[in-house]
Amino acid sequence: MPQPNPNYLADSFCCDKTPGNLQEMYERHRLDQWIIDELYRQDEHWEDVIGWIPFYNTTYELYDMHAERVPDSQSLEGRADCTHFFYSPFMFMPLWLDMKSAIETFIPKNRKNFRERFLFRSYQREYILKSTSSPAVYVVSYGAKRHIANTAVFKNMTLKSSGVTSVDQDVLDWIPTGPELTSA
Amino acid sequence: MSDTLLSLLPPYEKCFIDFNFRNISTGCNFSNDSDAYPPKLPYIGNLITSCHIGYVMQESWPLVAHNISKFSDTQLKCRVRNIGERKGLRSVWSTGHVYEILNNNFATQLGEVLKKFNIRTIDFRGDSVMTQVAKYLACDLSRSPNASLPPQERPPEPHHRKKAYDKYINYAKGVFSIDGHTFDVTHALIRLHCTIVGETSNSKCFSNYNYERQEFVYEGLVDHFRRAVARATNYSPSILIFNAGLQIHKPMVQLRGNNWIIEPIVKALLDFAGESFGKYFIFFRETSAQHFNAREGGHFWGNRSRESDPGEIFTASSFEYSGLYLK
Repeated sequence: MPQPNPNYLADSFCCDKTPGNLQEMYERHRLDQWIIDELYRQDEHWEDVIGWIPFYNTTYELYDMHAERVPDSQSLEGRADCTHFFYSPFMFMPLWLDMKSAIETFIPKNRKNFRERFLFRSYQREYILKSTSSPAVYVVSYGAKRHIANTAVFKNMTLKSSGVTSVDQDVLDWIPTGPELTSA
Repeated sequence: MSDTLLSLLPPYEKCFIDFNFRNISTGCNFSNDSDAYPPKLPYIGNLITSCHIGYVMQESWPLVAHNISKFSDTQLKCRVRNIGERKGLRSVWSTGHVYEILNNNFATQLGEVLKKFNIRTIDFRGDSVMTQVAKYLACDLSRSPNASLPPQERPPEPHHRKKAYDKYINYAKGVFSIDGHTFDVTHALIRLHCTIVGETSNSKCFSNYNYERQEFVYEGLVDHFRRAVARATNYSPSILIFNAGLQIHKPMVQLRGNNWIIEPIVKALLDFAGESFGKYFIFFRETSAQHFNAREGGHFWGNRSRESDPGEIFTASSFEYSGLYLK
């Protein structure tokens, strides 16, 4: 599966990086890395539907924001909660910068590639959609929408109204139409 | 924070200090030590709690830092860390263009981008850091002391966190505007099902079958996401920023010897993002390093810092704005 170097992931969304040793500059926690690896495993084009905002490096060197009384770092007793000491507004400047860049990059890309990704994912799972302007309900799977003929069919398919997603009519219009579902 | 001290502070700085957290149902303010500015460190006592520096960054420069320790009955000096010491920050901080960075108001730029896409709602979900992020976002983007982010429920005391994940709700909602463009900001912690060590509330968490646990986590997360962006429309889309990192406790992650929980989290993110149809945009925000720094023994006291006496107001140079610590 083709993957960019995860260490450079932030580059694809935002973030001016050093011309020097990027590898050294950009650290990532194992939890983030697990998420990235799993995103690629489930959908190699996940960057079309999910944006990524760097933050680990922003906070990486802020050791002095922590104050732990007890030498035993595993002990829960007496340990300050170190997540709550962001008290300089300037500490968040990098985050605003990265959010700005990530949003600016991701939203146009998402809008451009979303349809293709949606149809691709409909081969993996089905979606139940209805238009906000019509009571008609559709099952979208294998790249096509199929109108559910009536309530009885809907119930026979053991679908739930809570699982129906309302979308604009133009969303339904660009999904190819398949044969109507007249029975479960 | 005394009224006297608050009265001395410029509006923008006050915004960070006097950022109201109110219980919407009762209308009462409540104090959350963890979210106080300057921070109160309940386990440290007066040693660090009394070392405060406030900052002023309004439309005009220069940047002013204000050691307000004087008003907090201390004679201790504070230090502001040298930005150059923070090599882990964005590289732009270390490439010698610090003045350019300081002269860019990134909060304003972010606000402009949000306006450009007509984003009206920003939902932060995930860890406790999001509380801080949401709070500063409202302050920094609005540059107003009037932005407020009142929570609806007070988070339970820490010992509850271990036992009652389903009650651990810290939801807040704030409204602020930039040039008439109104933003709703919400934040909430999410306790993923089965992530709390020792959790016994649901047998699914300890099932021998991965799929049972995974489905439990997946359904809970998707359900939460759906509620978070329920009001989003194509014409006024929402941004949902999520971080699961801090919620995932290693013993639970590696229950039965595998990283079972990552799969349902990612599946929930992908599936939910996949049905957005332009009504909302999902971002994953990286885990904060701070938790792990502390737990892994990171104490770094720096070596090139600026000292300031209690009460001293000084023009901060390019190297003196990124944080402070006690001498």
